[in-house]
Amino acid sequence: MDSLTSSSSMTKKNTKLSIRNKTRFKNTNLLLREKTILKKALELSVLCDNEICVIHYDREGNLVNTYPEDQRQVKDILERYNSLSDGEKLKKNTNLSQFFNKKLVNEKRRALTDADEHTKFTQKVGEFKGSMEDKLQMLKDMVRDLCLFPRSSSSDHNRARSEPLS
Amino acid sequence: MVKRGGTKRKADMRKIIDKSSKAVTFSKRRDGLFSKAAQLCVLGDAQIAILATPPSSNSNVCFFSFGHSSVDSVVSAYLSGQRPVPVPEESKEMREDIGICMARKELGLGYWWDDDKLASKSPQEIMQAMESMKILLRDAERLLGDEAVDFDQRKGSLVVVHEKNENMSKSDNAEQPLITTEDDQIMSVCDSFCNYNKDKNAALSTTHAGENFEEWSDMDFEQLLSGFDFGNKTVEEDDDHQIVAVSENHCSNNNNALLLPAAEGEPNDEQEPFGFDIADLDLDTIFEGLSSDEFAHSFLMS
Repeated sequence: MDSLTSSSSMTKKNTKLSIRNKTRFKNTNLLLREKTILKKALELSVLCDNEICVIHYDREGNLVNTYPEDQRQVKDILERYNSLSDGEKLKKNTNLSQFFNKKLVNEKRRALTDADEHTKFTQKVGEFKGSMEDKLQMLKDMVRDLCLFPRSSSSDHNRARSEPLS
Repeated sequence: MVKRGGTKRKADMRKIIDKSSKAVTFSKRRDGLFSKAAQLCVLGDAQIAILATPPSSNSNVCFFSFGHSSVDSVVSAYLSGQRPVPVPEESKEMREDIGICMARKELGLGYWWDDDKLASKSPQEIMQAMESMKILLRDAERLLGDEAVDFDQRKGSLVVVHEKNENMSKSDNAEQPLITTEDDQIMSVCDSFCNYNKDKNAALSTTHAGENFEEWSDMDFEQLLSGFDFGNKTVEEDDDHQIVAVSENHCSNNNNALLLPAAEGEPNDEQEPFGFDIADLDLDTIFEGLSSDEFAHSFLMS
């Protein structure tokens, strides 16, 4: 019994339509977002008179677009970036995880001093925590049930264990 | 960063002359740009790299950078003309990353634990998921606490900021290490009961080198299974011995009642193969302190 594959295919069938609709919405949404990133990059480079380079790949690994559009300009900036030492590259560098967690840390810091921020933040984290605790309880029960009433292949196991043990 | 009072104006698209205004605008817009990119990465599984030179001429940094999965992976993909190495849509690290989880929720993707698929996973996977959730819960508690927190990149978690030492490790904090004997019991009970197939077990267990929380689940499962041979009476005793050995590391009078050897249990009761009623165990306490170094150590010591 491979519960994993059978259940995941079941899930796919049940939500077939909504996935298609979700994808449609997602596509236009993503296109719009891709556009705004380029626009924002342009604005930043003009206002601050500096160099910006954005490289964007989609989930399949295809290059979506770059800013600036000109490949030579991009390569120029990248060459300069690559000439840096690893230590230099890490200065002021972030990735997804660091970015979001830093944001949380800053929100927390503001929540400690500002009452409105505190309310908002506490509510947000509280909801997060509450949802998790509820699910955790559900999972506990699930695991307990699974131990008490094991699935199919355990019937032999039960027979062996129910023999007199003393 | 959000101003109140409707003071938004459309920015004039020309170079800003005033140095301090330029600097402020730069950091705000840079953050905004990174934010948009991060959202795209989460929503569309995109891989993005952003490089920005500082606005002022005298700065000790060459580039402000953002990259997912990393700046280098995207940059080298571009320069070599190849595709970047794909990022897995869900991974243990991502599930245990509170920043990413909350961001996903804010972007409308919901919490990963609300996914229906979780219900049909094997008990081992469910318990691993619970482990991850415990880690998240700990971080959430820190966020709700009265002290400032910081994100420790090395540990990949939030830590409370102390005046003396900013980067205190997690174990130094006043955590509730509620590793009760019940924890050990229920884990080994459920584990031994639910993992018949070693191969399946091996296939399902994840391997993450160097992470203190994750490794225990592989190791203790394998440990408990190693002596198992179904239909063999002595095996069950081994199981109990392991339970007793592990729980001896903790002093807890309440739990002694649960350490009955299997012989005292109801012999023919198919629902209670382990000699005590699992339903009697206080699962709330059991699962309360699931994840911590102490837990891992106690298992390894058996």
